[in-house]
Amino acid sequence: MKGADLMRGRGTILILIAVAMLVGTGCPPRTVDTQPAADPEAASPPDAPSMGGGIGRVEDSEPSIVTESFPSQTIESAPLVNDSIEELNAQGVLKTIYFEYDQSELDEDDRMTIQDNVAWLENNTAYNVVIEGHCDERGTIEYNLALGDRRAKVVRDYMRSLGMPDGRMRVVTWGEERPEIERTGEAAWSRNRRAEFILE
Amino acid sequence: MHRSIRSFFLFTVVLIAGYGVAAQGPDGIGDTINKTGPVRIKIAIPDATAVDGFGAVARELIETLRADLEFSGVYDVIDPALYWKVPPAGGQIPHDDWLSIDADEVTQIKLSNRSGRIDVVAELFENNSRTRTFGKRYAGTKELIRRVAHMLADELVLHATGRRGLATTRIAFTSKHGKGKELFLMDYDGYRIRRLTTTSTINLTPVWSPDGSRLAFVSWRGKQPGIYIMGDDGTLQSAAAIDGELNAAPDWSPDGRKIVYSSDTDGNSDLYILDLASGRNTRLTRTQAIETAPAYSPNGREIAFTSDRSGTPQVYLMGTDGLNVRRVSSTGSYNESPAWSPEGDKLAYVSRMDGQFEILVLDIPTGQLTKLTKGRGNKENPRWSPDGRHLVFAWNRTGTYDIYTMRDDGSDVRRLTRGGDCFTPDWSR
Repeated sequence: MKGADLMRGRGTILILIAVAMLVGTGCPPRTVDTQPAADPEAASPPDAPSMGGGIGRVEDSEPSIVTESFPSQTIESAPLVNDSIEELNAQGVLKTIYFEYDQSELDEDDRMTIQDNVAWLENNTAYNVVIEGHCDERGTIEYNLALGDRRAKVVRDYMRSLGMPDGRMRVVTWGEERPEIERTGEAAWSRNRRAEFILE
Repeated sequence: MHRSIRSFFLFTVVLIAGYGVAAQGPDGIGDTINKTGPVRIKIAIPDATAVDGFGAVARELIETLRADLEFSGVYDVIDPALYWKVPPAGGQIPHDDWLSIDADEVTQIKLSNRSGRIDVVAELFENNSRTRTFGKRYAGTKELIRRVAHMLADELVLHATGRRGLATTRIAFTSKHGKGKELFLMDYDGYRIRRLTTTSTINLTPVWSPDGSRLAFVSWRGKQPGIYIMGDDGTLQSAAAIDGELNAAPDWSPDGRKIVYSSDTDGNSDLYILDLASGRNTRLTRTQAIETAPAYSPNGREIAFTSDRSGTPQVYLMGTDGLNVRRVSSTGSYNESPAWSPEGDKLAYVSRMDGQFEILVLDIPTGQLTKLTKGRGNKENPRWSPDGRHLVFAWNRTGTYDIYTMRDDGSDVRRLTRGGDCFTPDWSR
């Protein structure tokens, strides 16, 4: 995974904190300087560069201080390196699109969002995507299943036209069974008529 | 389900020797009574005599029986408040006293303890002729006393009409449970609710096989919505439907050998028939529109379904070969969920009117359309009782969906579930 992608998430923030503390111990006074530096959670093991470019650059600039001040300790590297699928999905690296009532057409906004999603997937070939089609609660259960299916497939067809291979996409309709907002009224309904992009 | 079905068979139903129960054939007088409607047999159902400790069980049996027979439409249960006028039974049945409160018939029910199990002896007497016309004995554990009452009620309806009553029928439905919607069963009167699945995902639209031994339904227990069949022995199999990312909306052929369903395998939701024995699938529709919610006609020759080929969802009919397609819904912009009456002469479906779903019934021979429902909220997924006199449906009158029943003219609406987020009911045949 590329460093740029890590910038998107909570994991990145942890790295930045770690970096800030590493830098802080050897730099002119800063706010972080006043913090106790020897937080074992933030300490970096000697092999930290394997985590990614950010840490490596820090070590390049302050190698001796890093190794002296921070004896080998565990840091929270595992969740960042694995950046589990659940985590990425929770971060919302792929953006949801929303439909008009009883419609399954894409507007210009939707197409831009899908292009961004496809770009992310092209940069992260380890992941496949499930396109989930959803409806608001106003239709019947059975028709909405088919409508959710139709929405998901409109999205898949557009992604295919952008070069996304079929083998990396599948569609699942949830009809009206998995609303984003469990309320009635247009405010909720407009959020529930959607296609979600779930990594797997 | 497994436990309840096993328990059902634990009940030994014994014909009491010598009573010569006159079970009429299917072509007996029952037809006349059923059809004419208003001619109801006036029956008195006095309290049962019970041994010590069985009082509560006896009361539940009698109250359930009274409710069952009243619901049957065959019997008119005489108000128990009048029974004090009849002296306590002690030997001879006081037929004249029963006649004085207009009771054509009267039951005599006794509960006794037979080595820890309940022994129920039920007899029926005609007051005019002063004869005993029916007798049966039931034995089982007291947890199943409602089931005993339902079996007895159905026997009495069979005795009167030649057709078995509804009291032992069940309603399958789905309800929110944890993170999913699971399959549930309940008696036709809303009692004895039991859960059939534990999947933590979505399960929808259970439909009874015609013989009541299997339920076909839709589940996301795989990676995508597919059709599954659960047997009353607890077996679960995936229906051999064709590939597709959406296989849904199953309904059984009247002989139980085929399932009609919708699948998106050819791009969008179309209708197919699966032959269960051979696993062969036949495609029925070939449009770019959505076709779904297929329903086999009771004679097995036609399919009612929904299609949005006109631009909005509407109800259509076609032959089981996919030919002779014609639209039957003529009003409104959203008509869905067709359901055949058991006689095949009517179609119930939902129609959006003033922003909410109502249940309409189309009389096919005359084309007459009747709105059955009224009041706030969506009424959805209508299904007929096996005798065609009632419908079961889901309604969010209270803000969440529950299961209700009503007569086929929209009267006598009864709420069966309470606040359970219950959906997609189907009434066993």
